[in-house]
Amino acid sequence: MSIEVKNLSFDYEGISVLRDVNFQIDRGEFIGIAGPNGSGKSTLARCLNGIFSPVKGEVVVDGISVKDTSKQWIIRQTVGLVFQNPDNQLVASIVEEDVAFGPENLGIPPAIIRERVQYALERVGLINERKRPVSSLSGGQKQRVAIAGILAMRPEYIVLDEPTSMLDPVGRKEVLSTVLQLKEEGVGIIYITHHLEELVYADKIILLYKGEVFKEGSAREILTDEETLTRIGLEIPEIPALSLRLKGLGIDFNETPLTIEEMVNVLFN
Amino acid sequence: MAIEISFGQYLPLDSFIHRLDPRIKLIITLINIITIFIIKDFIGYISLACFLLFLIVSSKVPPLYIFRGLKPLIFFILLTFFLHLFTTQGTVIFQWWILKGTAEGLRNGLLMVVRFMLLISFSTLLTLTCSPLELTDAMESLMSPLKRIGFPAHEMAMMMSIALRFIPVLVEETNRIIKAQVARGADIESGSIINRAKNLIPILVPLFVNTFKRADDLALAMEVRCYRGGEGRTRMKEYVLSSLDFLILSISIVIAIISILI
Repeated sequence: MSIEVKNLSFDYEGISVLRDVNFQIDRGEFIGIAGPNGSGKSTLARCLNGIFSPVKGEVVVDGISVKDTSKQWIIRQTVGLVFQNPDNQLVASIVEEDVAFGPENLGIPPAIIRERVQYALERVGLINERKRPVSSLSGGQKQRVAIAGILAMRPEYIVLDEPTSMLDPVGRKEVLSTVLQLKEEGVGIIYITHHLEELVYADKIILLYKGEVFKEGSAREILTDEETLTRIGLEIPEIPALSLRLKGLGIDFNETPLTIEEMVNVLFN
Repeated sequence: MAIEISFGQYLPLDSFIHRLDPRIKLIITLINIITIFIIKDFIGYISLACFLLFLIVSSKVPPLYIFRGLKPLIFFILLTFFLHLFTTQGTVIFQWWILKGTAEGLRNGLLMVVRFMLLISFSTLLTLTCSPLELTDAMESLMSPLKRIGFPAHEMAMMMSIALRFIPVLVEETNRIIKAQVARGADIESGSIINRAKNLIPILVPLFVNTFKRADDLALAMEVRCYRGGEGRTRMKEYVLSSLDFLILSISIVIAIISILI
């Protein structure tokens, strides 16, 4: 079971936004997609669940093509999408009522909806806030409600389109740890961002540049490739940058550290 | 110039009023509003006011919240009072300049004040004890017989709940824009009325543009969550009428009849 993106191209009002994008993601995998503004990241996100239909090429979700409009609701339920602005994607005023919105649309019986809302809110750690108005939550909490709203539809994959760009550092951490936990539980994660430090735990990183795959590889390969990152206008995260400087000073690493923990381990053991 | 509103601000407390079926609460409020308009004498309002007091106390809502609902309308209420006082024909009880206050005017004016206060208090209490979604669910359910003649009950309810959901968001945004414009030297609080109205333009334009952007985002988010109109949609909350619902409804009807008859 996987999402396969094959030679995907997309035009928007005559302008080519994506060209020949290829990749595959399995359930339980964490793929990071990074690129500067205008690289086609958001368009790619919208292609993955058929909101945009590919102009050329194909996106296949668990064996179903997103071009098959008769299956569009199954695809949207299988591939959940979380957006940038937490305020603009919450439909109901109360936390649990918002989380119930998706399952309600799917026509699920009320008793099962309540179970799923409970499950989803537990997963994101907001079960105690279920009766609170969403307007009283912090940005990170709102974004977790949005994730819970998707989780309640029981998706196999979640695409997050810059989910942390409007959050403070605390909110960022909250969202990221929620996402990592979901990956552990077997959900496929496609995480779009231009904060590369959020991708240190990704299984694979794809760099998009001007609508094309510029480079792809493991987190360690991509995050320590300062030359490539600088060329497409992305900033190398702090710890990989430090690792490279230390290497320049003659310290030899087996594996270049990406996180503070790795760095501490390497330097003090 | 920060804007504050209590309308649509649900207060999630635990009381039997909160647990009542929202349809019953809506019907009771409608009955009370109709009664308020039918009553022509003060005595009738006393029983209604007692009922209101009973509802407020048993809902555990701090009375301050009800006053907050009244506050923005004080000017309007006073205006109606004075209009009645000075324009009703009858026995003059005092005269000031060219304005003649009459006994009948005083009576009518006070009647209007009581009427408005009860009206606003009842509806404020409804919005404080029903979440916006419960309220729109109730409206949808009460209006659903009209679906057969092509009335878009579901769409109306959805529009209403989204409007309520975005009131706090837009208030916050308005305050932010005001601050941003003031920081750029905009003067929005002084000058003549016409000037002040003109000064609102730099606030309203960004607010409108952003609201359209939000609407676009929201529509996409709803589509992603498989929204396709009311057809085939289920609800998490099932509303089942309990004996308590019928009891409160009967009490409300009895009080309405008493208030009208005495």
